[in-house]
Amino acid sequence: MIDQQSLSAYFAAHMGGDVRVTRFKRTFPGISRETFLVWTDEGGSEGGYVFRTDALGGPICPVPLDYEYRIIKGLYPTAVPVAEPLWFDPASALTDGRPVMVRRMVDGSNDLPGLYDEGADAAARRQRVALDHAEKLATLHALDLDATGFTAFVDMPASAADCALFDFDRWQDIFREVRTDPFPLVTEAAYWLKEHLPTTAPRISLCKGNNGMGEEIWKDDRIVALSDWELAFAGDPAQDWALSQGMLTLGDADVTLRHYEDVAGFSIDRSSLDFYRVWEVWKAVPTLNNGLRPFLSGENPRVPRLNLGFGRVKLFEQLLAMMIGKPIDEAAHIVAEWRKSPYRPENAAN
Amino acid sequence: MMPTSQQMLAAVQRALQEHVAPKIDDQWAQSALRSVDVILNHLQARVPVEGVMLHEDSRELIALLTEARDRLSHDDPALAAFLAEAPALLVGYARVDALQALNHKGREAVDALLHVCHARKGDAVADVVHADLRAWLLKHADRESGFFFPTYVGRPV
Repeated sequence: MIDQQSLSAYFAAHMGGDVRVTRFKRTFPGISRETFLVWTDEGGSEGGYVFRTDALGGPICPVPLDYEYRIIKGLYPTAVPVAEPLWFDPASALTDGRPVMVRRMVDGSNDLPGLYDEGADAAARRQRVALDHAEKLATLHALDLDATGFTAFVDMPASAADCALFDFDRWQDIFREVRTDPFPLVTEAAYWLKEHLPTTAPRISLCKGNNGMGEEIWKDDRIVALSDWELAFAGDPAQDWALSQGMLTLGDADVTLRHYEDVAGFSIDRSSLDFYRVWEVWKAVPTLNNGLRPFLSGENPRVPRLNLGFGRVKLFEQLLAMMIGKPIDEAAHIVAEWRKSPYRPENAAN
Repeated sequence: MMPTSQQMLAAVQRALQEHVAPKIDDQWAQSALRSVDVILNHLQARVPVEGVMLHEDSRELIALLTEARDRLSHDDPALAAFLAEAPALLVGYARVDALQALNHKGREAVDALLHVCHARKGDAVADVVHADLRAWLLKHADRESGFFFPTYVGRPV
């Protein structure tokens, strides 16, 4: 357990002796990685930092923390809003050898109180929020990956046309490496999906991975920092929209996507978006199942690992069983229904 | 008469819901309790029927995998291990953990055979085996469905 005194010594060692931690708080949720908000006294003025480390036994998603740090560091000088990255510590004594990254705290919140209120004003507000998110994604997706240095460490598809196949192959390797069960139905679903891979993309973009509600820092209904980059990858921007948790249902999806396309200067293929909605269900299996490994080894035998790494994985396997062999647009409809809250996948099949 | 495992799990769940949940306002504690509640729901669905389900599922796998092996002239370690162990284990009353381990081996063999079938796609024999494997996969998913629906639907943490 991290305590205030050790944290104070850690920050003083990195920033100089005149820094003292006055309080800190672990953010919720944070099962894959542990994130702490840290406030300091720095010679009379207050500082704020975000301290992030792997959970015991490693993160849920099979991506090292230094990858996320390098993504944020690469984005910081660009127009994409991210928190200032301060340092990466590959094996901190404070966390018993787990890696740590520290960013400057951004003034904002991942919560937008009242966003789902009833009435025309709230609906208009939701659309504005969706448009702001679309603009931020467009800025990210329009980045020149050579000029910004991402091609040096992010796995790159050979061409835009290869985006889907590249991601597919990458995740087959991860699946084989991390799975805790044979999951033959997931294997069969992969063969089905491979027959439907999109063969076009507007460009190769840096994609955020999980994005949208709950993932970003907002202030006055605008994103002040895109946060949580552990699943960032180079690929088809349509894939990011498939991962835009709640953003396309926040307002009118067509209005939101058209605004995005105006800002980005390229179009999102709606059939590719359908494919990626289904593909992301498949990808959730290895992503979450990886989190069960420390549970099984005894390194992190805690209930969230059990529920995410086993229960949710089996739930996604059930969802794949409902979709396998169907036309992709029909499968995507099932996913869309499933995503509704409170969702009931058995109803989605009707 | 002894209370069943299901009744006992339900009683634990009720105690937590009635006496613990209302007194908790910390987000992490609430999340932990939600997770425990989900696991208790899962166990109530799984414990009474898992042994029977695995027994039936693995018995079908013996027939399926024997036929697939013979039709495709294919063998691999998981398939051989499953077919060597399964008949004896399924004759008597086996422990659930032994049935789980056996079923795991059987599903490993199914996984390997799926790759073989896809590699030989268009071959009439492989296509028939593939159709049988796929039908079993869906049947297996259906057998397990009650363990995960609606238990794991909803808030993930």
